[in-house]
Amino acid sequence: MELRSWLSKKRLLACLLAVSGITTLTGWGAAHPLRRAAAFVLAPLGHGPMYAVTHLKRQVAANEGQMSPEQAARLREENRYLRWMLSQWRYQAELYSRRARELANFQSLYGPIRDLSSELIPANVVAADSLPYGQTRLVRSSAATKAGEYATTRQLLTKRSKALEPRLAVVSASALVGRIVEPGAFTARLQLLTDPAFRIQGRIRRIINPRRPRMVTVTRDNLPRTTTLTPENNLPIDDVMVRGDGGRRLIVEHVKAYHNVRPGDLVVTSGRERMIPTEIHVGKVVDVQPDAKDPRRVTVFVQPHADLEALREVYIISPYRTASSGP
Amino acid sequence: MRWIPFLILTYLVVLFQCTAARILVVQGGGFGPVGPDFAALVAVFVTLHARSWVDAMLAGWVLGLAMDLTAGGGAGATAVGPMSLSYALVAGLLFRVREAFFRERALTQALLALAFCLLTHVVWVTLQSLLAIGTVEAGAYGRMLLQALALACYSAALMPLVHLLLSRCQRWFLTAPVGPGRRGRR
Repeated sequence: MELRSWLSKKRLLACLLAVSGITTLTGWGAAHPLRRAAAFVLAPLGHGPMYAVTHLKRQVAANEGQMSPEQAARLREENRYLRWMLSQWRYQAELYSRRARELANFQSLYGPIRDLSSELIPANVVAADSLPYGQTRLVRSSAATKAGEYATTRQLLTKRSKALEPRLAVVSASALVGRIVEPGAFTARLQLLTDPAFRIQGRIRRIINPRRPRMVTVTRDNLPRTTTLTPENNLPIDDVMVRGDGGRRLIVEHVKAYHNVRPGDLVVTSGRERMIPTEIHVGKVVDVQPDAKDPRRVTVFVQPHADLEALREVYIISPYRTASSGP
Repeated sequence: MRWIPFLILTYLVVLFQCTAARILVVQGGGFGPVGPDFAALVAVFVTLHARSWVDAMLAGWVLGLAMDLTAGGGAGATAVGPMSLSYALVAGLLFRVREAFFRERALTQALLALAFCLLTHVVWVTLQSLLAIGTVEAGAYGRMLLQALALACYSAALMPLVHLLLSRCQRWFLTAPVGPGRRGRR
């Protein structure tokens, strides 16, 4: 009896090792349904611990921002000056916004309709990767998702002092956090921006600082000219490839040095992809390094706009199907 | 081995690894995040205390499969199976050499956990990179090997603590060691 049971265990082990070998060789074909099944088992109990972890991570991130008394005093002085400036600009902005409202009203009545025909599917992060080599999250949503769909955080901007009515549908997307790589009916795997395999077509928007003017090369009359960056010639730097570095940042390689990208500039989505046909914040430039192979180009390091470590609620952008887009 | 409690333990360990253990993840120098592999630590514990090499390998296979199913990215991570294979084979190897060590010493436990994590993760990274050949660059492969080394050191540092915790509740998932029971001692 003992010998029989020993033999059966040995055979079972051999079978299981053979199964592992086969699933290894079949790759994605076997992995996708198996992982989806596992996600159903893992997702129900993931909410609680993930909530605790993200809450703690937010607290830690808030405490990391502590500063010295000198820095605080300097910041207070700077804030006072900025508040004064703000009051001046607010008056100007009020004038402009009144004109803009009038124009917008006119455009909405007579102009072409421009709408981002997408649905925002709310989802919760319920688990992270078991291994640290990638940057993905398991999300649980109320609707089915498709591979390639993007996810954002959501920020409701309002000037109202009263609470908004529930079920309001119009919100602005705040920051891109990643894309769906393993879709499913109720759970899906979200590949974060910082994953080494993440790629997206982006656009760099340079921020003009009057205190620190920057020289850029622009083409005028088919001739390159070096000039100061102004609102008139500040065109976005299009078609840059943004990829995750596997850590906490994003990398944009092979950016032409004459664009003079600086820390503080913004990286947004290109707005040309079918899945995300609008500009959404990706992150802020934190470092610019010369390219080791080509001195005419630079590598730009970007800090994601969203706090990916404490990611809890996301919204999956699901474009509505139109007759032209097919089934 | 008591397999039902062991499967429940595996589920709890993987749930912890995917959720609450995120708090222990730190950013490594230039090679990305590093966190401990608790499933590997449980596998080392079971291997040190299992009654037979088949039990140790089966337990390693179960834990490795759980890790495979919950791993998402990096190196194209498309295949399910490399981790269960490597956990099972390294658990079998560790079972063969365990008699040469004093398993109750913290340093021994840490060294065995270091070797286990290093071997299994190097195998996993290499297999996944080979399967995703063409998409994983040499630099990314090197970075992941460094990550695996850092992960092994981090996990090894936690092994004595995990061993202490698991030894308190080992009667739930491991059968009693060979020898006279209560009735025999009377």
